[in-house]
Amino acid sequence: MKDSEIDRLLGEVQPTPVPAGALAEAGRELLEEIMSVHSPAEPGRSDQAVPLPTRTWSLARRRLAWVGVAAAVVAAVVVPTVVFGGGGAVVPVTPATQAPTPTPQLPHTKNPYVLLDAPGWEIDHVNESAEDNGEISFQQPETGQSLQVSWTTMDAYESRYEDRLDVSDPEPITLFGANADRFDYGKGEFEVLAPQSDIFLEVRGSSTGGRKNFAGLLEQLRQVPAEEWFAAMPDSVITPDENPSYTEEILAGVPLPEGLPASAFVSGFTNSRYHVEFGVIQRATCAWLENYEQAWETDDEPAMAAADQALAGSPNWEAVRREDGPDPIGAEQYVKAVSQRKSVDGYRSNLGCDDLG
Amino acid sequence: MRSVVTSADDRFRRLYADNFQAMLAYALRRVGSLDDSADLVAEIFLVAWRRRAEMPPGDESRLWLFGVARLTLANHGRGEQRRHQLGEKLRLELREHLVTHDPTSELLEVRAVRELMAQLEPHDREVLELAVWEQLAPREIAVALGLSSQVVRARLSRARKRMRILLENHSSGMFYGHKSAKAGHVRGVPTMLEPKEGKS
Repeated sequence: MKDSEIDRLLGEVQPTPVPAGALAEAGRELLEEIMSVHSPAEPGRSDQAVPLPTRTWSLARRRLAWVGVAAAVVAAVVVPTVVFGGGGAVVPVTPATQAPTPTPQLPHTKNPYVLLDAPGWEIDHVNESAEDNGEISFQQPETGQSLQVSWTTMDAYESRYEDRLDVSDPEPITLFGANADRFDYGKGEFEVLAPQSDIFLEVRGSSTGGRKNFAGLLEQLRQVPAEEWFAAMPDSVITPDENPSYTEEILAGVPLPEGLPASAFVSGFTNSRYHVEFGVIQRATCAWLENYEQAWETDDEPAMAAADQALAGSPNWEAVRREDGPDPIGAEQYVKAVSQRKSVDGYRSNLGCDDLG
Repeated sequence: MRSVVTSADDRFRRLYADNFQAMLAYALRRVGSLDDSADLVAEIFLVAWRRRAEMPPGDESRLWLFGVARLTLANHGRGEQRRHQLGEKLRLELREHLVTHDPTSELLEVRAVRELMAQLEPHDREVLELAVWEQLAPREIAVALGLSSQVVRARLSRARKRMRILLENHSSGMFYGHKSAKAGHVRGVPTMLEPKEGKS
């Protein structure tokens, strides 16, 4: 089933499509009613929460993502064999003859290293998208409950807190020994905002039952030493030391444009396999489209043909072919355009290539 | 009666006119009753009106409004049924236009797909709904949710992937025929409800 088919199916099951142009008169009346309401903002919870977009924040993250990648590439060269072993220790693996032993290095991220000790719960995914931004998601497969812990820099805290005032009144609680606020979304969904020096945590529980159950889960959250956190990662999560080899594995069979080294794909962050694969496939797709775009502008048929051949084979790239692998969102139309030697204008923003730096 | 019409007022009118249908659709797709939908639409625009001075320029105002909508919906989801004096006509006309709210929900296939969607993680489901139902691009969803575009893309990709697996693993296999079904239709599902009267 292609993405477009899934989207079409989901589009068809949306509740109650609205007839175009319907209710226009009622809408006009509502507009006049609203505009007759005295303003500016009156005191009240719902008025306090306007979720202003945080573009500057996302741009900052992009830059940091590049810093992270660059750092990882350097790390891959300088300390290629550091592994985070079991038993809570960071184990440097070096040839016996090599001296001195390299100092184990932990990634330079703001990861708060949170684990959940609740019985029956497991790590669903980890997604570090930048040095100071990421999330870890836990789930209870039998009950469908989930708990997500995400972290971002404090400069986003104020607007996030104001947003949540629209959800409910904050209830002060303690998380990891510090003050935090809990917000109630209803239907067993809660969220906690917990500032921690230069980052803050958002802990979101879904289908977690009542307030008491959610509080019980929070009590079982632990911040642990980095080594313990890495040791607790399941096979489905790729730690920074594993990233170069896993990236190499993903790239097997993926043709790369000339001059683009495999090391450009290496990341210094911790991510679920899915997210690592997504990043690699996205970067490879973007690189080929960039090559094609340049070739198209200069009418360089051999270069266009090379991009065409590479992209045409992308559905067979191992990571893409697997059932649980990633899809380069929206790439289908550009692959088709390349095959027809048409313009691929707009691919950078539509495929998120700009976000890659 | 207002004696002074400010540019902020004009911008709000434009925002309202451009997005009334979209917000109505947003509300109808996410809350359980017509009256609640009318209330939600009124609440969304009321919050936007009161905060209009903070409305970003250009197309981002539309995305900003989606951000207002999702938080207003979250508030709505807490079960606080705040009936407004506003929007009475909208409530009445909604009942008239859409006499039976969401008749498609009676269809087995539709119910099944919606149940599968409900199995997605809330964050993943939210971006998928915004992409498919609200037709927002990942970049636009990122602005509306205050996330990075990269995070939205990853969530969207993951949501589609999981949805694909859920659909393909569904025991009845009822969705496999979709590809060959008449273009644009799930069997038996009307693509759009017709209003009882002509467009107003």
